[in-house]
Order: sequence, then C-alpha cells, then structure tokens
Amino acid sequence: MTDDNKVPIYSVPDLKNATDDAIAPIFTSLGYTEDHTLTDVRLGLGFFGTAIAAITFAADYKYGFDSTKTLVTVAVALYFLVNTALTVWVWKVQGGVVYSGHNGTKKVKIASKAKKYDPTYHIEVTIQDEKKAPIVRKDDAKFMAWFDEQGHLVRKPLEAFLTQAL
Amino acid sequence: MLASLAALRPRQLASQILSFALVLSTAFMLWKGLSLVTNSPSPIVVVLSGSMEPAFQRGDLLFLWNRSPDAKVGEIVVYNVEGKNIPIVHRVVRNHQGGLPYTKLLTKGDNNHADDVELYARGQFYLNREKEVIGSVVGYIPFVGYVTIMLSEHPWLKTVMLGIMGLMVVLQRE
Repeated sequence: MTDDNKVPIYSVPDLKNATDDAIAPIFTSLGYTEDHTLTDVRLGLGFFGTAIAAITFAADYKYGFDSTKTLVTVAVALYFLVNTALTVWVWKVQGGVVYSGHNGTKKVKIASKAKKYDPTYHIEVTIQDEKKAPIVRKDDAKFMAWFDEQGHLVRKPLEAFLTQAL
Repeated sequence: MLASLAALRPRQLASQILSFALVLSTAFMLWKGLSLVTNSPSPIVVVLSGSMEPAFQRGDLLFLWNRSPDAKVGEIVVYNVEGKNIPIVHRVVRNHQGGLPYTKLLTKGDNNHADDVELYARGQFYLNREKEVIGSVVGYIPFVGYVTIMLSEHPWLKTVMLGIMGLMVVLQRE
C-alpha cells in the first residue's frame, strides 16, 4: 500500500489538488464554517440530469422506441438544457473556487489556479464583510513552499501563505 | 485504491461518481437524440455477417435514416424481424405494393443465393416497411465496428471494460 498523503512533487495537478484539499481543514481550524452551496448546486444539477437519462433509459427499455418518442424528445431537450446550465455554473459561477466559507459576518472565497507545467499556485481571495464592498486579493507562491522533498504537505507554511492573503 | 476512495470526503466522492455518470448519460442522451432525428430506434448499426459482401464487410459501421416512408428497389435497409433481436442489413429487390402506406418489401443479401423470405416471421412473404424496417443505410465507416463484434462474441470483455472505465474515472482527477 502506498502512502496516500504523498504527492509526486513533479506533477503540478497533483500538487494543486492536494493543496486545494488542504485549504478547508485549515480554515475550519481558524474558526471558519465551510459553505457548500456552490458544490451542492453543481451536484444537484448533475444528478438531476443523470436521473433524467436514467428514467429515459428505463422507459425506452420497457416500452420501446415508438411509444416513448414524445417523452424521449422532451427528456433529451431537458437533459441538454440541464447540462448547459451545469457547464455555465461550473465555468462562470463556480470558476476555480476551491473554498468558500464564513466566520461570523466575514465571508471568504478562494479560487485557485495553476498552469500545467509551472509549479506556481495562484490564488484569488475574495473577502466580504457584511455589506461592505468585497475586497479581492491575488497572490501566488511556489508549491515548494509547503511540500517537503518526499511530497508531504506541510501545513504551517500553507497556513501562513493563506492567512497572509486574508 | 479503495482506501483512497474511502478517504474522500462525501462531496468529493459524489463529484467523482457524478463525472462518471455524466459521461455515460451524455453518451446515452446523444444516442437518443440521434435516434429521434433519424427516426430510427437504432441509428447506427454494425454489420454482423458477410451476407452483403462486397458492399459491406463484417464490422462495418452503418448510419441509418428512417424518415422516407418508401424504400426503392436497390436501397439497402436494416430490418428487425419480430421475435428475432438481430438487425439484418439487406438490399431491397422488390417493392410489392408501390403505394403508401402499405409498402411491402422483399429483400436479399447481395452475397446470398436466395431472398430473405426464410428469414421473415413465419408465414410472411414480405417486410412491412413501417413496422419492421429501422432505417436505410446512408453512410458507413469500414471496420471500426469490429470492436463491438469482439465484445458480443466475448461478453466478459464488456464487464472488464466497463469496470476499468468506471474505476479510472473515479480514481483520477485530472
């Protein structure tokens, strides 16, 4: 069995995924509550679409092509509508947001980005306190700052990087 | 591998299951969409026998269109005889009743000696254009359907392939 917490340190996507995953626990320990709305809407849309396809499949299997034509026409149209909504949601609304949460009245949203062969972690932090205008801050750092030579994520430096962006 | 699945948070696990489900459902809905456009329950079929050689070989992929109410002599049609679940690709050699909507067809494989009367349902000497024909061939790609012949001749390959696909989608994130 391999050590699951270890990341191949030359693979940028792995570094990025591991870092993305580590953000939520850090914020939880800082007293933030994670807000899952973005993910839940995506999952909801996605599974709604899948359910439509599943029902279509069952109806087609049971009643055959000719008697289900109207139903299938509606289902196919609806499916691709839902799928388009899902795509728009993932690209436009969710963007690269990997964490969103709040601490009291303070809302924090973090989007991350990394270019394929460039080991730099770019984050965009949006902070909104009650009704004040949101503040957007961009920051970046090399993954080497919080991964050791073996590919273990070291929490302290990542936490420092995140809190300094806050 | 399973340990890495168990380590995922529920939303992450759900996301990964979703991406797999979306691949399957999108493929299926595209197929259904094509099926509606062509008005054929099975708009793409694979040639399973050599009865239409040299026009089509085993493994050729055929694209069907089922919106013309008639079928002319010389047209290649795909039909499903009731009770037999294998679509047959053969050429129309006679059109018994030219008039619509009761078009009755006689078909024959180019490479067969006899016509298809033997293949039709018991006591039936013609094909019902409306009920039995699922489309006329409008295009084909040679050989690429051979994979499905392999899969249907060795059913365990299907299980293996589906399993590998599923695991891959669930386990990789890129």
